[in-house]
Amino acid sequence: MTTPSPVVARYLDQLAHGLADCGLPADDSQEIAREIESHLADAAAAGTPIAESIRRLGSPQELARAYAVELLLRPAPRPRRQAWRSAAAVLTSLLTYAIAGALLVLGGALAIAGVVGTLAGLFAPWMPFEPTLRSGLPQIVVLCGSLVLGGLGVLLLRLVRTAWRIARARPRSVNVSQKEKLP
Amino acid sequence: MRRGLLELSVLALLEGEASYGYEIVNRLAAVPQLASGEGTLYPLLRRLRREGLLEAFWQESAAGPPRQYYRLTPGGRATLNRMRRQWRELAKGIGHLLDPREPKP
Repeated sequence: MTTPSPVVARYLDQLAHGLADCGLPADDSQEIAREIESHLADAAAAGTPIAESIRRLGSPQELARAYAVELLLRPAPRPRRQAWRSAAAVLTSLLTYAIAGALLVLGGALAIAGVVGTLAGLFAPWMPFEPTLRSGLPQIVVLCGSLVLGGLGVLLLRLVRTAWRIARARPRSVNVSQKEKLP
Repeated sequence: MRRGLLELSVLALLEGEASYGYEIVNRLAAVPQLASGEGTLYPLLRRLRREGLLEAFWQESAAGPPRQYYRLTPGGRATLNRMRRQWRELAKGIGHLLDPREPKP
């Protein structure tokens, strides 16, 4: 492969810079520069003076702007599949909110039941409403059961917090992946 | 409208076989009304490729640096057929408007 003349090399360099300034990724800019280099070589081989070929292409800045107008101002249409995917994302996040809400209520109730039960188990013998709370079960069973229920409640609350964070993070991550697709 | 016609022309040119920028420019020059300069065509090729209508591949050239060839994707073929049908209907309609003796679309 022959090395391009200084005039061509300068044109390609300015073109790649112009494309980068317009926000095109470096890989794309390099590939476009290689394509224009090949165009200029073909034109030269056909006997067209380099100056004439460059005049037809326009200045590197003009050509870079033409790419930018064509590519950036007219983004690729979103494939239809994406619409389904975003509908599915909305459904799953709704579902996540519903499940998180139910778990929150359940966890809270279990935690309160655990605390109340433990207190009742500890202090019931000296409390006036002892018989209704103990409901005939041995004190140690009420105590252990309440502690387990309370622990379960705290676990559920943590689970809800995590689920909540994931549900809130999802829309943002979808946006990021869409942005990456643009040049 | 000229942009749409240029797009249609490029897709039609690539229907039979793959080609590269310099050759496409020269073949389009046969229709000067398209006013398709190099500075318009290369960005257009890039967009058609990004929209998935064309795919590109590099091929060595005997004369100089490798060339970037373009060919239609199945989606590009479908778009070409749709645009060709629309163009013919439009041409027929306009033809009838300009001269009522011509057949109605």
